[in-house]
Amino acid sequence: MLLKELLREEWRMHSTMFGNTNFILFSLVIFGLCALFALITPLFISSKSILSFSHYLFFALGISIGSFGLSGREVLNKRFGEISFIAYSSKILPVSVKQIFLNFALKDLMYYTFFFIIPFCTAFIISSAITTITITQASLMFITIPLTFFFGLSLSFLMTTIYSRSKIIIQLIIGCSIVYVFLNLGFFTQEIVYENMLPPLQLFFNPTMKMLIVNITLSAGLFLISTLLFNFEFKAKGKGHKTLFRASKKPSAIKAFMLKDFIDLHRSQGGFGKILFSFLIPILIIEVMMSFVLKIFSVSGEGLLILFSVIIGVTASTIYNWLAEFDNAKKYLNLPINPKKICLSKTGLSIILGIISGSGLLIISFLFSEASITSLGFSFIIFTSVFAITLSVLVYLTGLNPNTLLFDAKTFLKYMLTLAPIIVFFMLQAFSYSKINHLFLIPAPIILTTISIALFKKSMKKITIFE
Amino acid sequence: MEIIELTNISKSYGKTKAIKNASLTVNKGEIFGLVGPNGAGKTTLVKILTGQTKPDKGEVTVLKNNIVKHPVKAREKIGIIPEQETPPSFLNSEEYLQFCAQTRKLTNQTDNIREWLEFLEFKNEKNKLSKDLSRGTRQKLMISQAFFFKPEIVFIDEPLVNLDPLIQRKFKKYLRKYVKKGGTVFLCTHVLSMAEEVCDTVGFINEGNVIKTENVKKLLKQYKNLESAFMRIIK
Repeated sequence: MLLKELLREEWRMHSTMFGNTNFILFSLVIFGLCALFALITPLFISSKSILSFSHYLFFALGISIGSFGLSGREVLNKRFGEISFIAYSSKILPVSVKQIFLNFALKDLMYYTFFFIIPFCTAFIISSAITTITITQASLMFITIPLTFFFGLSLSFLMTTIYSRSKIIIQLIIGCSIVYVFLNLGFFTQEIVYENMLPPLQLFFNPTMKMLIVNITLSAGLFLISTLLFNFEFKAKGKGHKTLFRASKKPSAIKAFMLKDFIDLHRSQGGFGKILFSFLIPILIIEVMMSFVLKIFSVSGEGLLILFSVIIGVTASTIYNWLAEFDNAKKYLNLPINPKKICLSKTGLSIILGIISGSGLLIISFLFSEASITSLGFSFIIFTSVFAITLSVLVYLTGLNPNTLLFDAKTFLKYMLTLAPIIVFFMLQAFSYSKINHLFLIPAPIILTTISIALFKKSMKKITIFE
Repeated sequence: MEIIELTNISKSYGKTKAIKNASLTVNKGEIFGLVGPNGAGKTTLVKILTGQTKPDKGEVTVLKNNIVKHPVKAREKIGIIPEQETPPSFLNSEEYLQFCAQTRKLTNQTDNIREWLEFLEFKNEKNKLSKDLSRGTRQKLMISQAFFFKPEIVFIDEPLVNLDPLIQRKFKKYLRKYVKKGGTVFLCTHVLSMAEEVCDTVGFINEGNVIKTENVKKLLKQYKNLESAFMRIIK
């Protein structure tokens, strides 16, 4: 009953914003993009590698989504602000917050299955007619991909729940894992390790009833433990927070907003862990997997680094989503502020945080890639220009509401179609890196950065001062 | 001297006409109360006057600024206490006031801010995050952000709903003091006793129409109290 109402509520919320057709179209857009992926990639990469990569992709997505362990009850108003939802009704309805949360998580799982997993797997079923992927393999994905997503989500939920209670434990686990992998690079470049490290992938390559039961029990067990440890209640801290704002001799609205956004990110539950779990760790997983898959196809270290710089550049823009999540322009209508300045400050802070965290990731990628130091500098330029164009496209299309407007099929399609040629261009360069001249690649970042600035200026004109 | 002028303003939300050809003026140094039942259009009118919402037609001048053309410039000189909006969740009270000072490009406001924290008796809670404050303290914070920089006009939407009686009394006294010094207050409320107590002039609004504006003393000569006047005029 509660689940049904939550599903209905989520549906109405989206359909009110974008219309029923547009909301349903969102899954068709995802299907179209997945179909392209399923049809094109087998031309270049072996079916086994694609299938392994697909599983790791959904594992990374699960890790990213499961980071709600960080947010405590904030997750319930994460995407759509302080609106009265069923999720908030535990104090006025005879339902416990734990019960609401479990149903909320189940509802999210169903929505992700409907909007992402089913279109993805269906695309593979269709592509099996003309590619090397068999219909049996594609059908099996309907079981193993949801399990992979659920496994990633449960693992991340557990990690982030522990993180919200003790940061040191998780920092130690992550730190030790990185050092361990780095010291045993030889071991981690064996294909067999990747197949065995992810239980649903093991099930995919070796489908037995026993393995299926193990998988379900493992993910459900992790989820159950996380639920038991999860912090359900907002507890107002008795202690105060030291004032970080000081009177300024040269006051500026943009500086004030940047500091406010920084404080929001820092003080909201999970703090900077949100960037760690929703951006850095999933990208690292995808990178490690890709470096393994692509090395088989003799992609050079330099090529790999270019590819990673593009992936990091595209995903670093999610920091803007985090910064836009905590408030909306309506909150500042009592102040003499043009919403353009709010957008400018959020973009500015996204650039600072994106470049810091993205550079860290790029350096880790560099250590794994065996590329030259010159390539690192060059990859940094590509990363910043791809980051700039992704961010400016996101701001242009969604303004101060990226977390809601990206669910609009038309907006999402525009977003993907604008970025796809850029990603494909750099991918092709990465695959043929050793054969081309550096000079050929140099104009691309300059052009991208110029377009980004122009697009950003255009976005500013679109933002209206009135509510 | 007329400080707020509203001429033939109309505003619709879809098919709903929220304001219908409304006109009114407010003089400097007075407390003007806009009274009306729920859904009469009070909040929409305040939003238009403070440049938060654009009217479909008509002219609005506040402090001689065309608020539709230059909403941000006009807001620099005015204080606004909105009906519902809350301060950003993760700033503490003192930080929010400093944040407001910086966004208003004001320097040396620390003493003014401390004064307001003390005056509304929430100095002890200055380090608490906004999300952890009680509704009453949040309202104190919103009052402080509207007054600390000594604006020329303050717009208040339902001013006292969450304040305890002691603070209400203190604040009402302050409003009188503030207008005596040349400030102007535009408040909208459906608490008629409060309007009767503090306002110099009241405007009656119903179904988007500003029906009448009148001096409170004059009204009280005609009617037993503001409630009786309201019942007669609105009906």
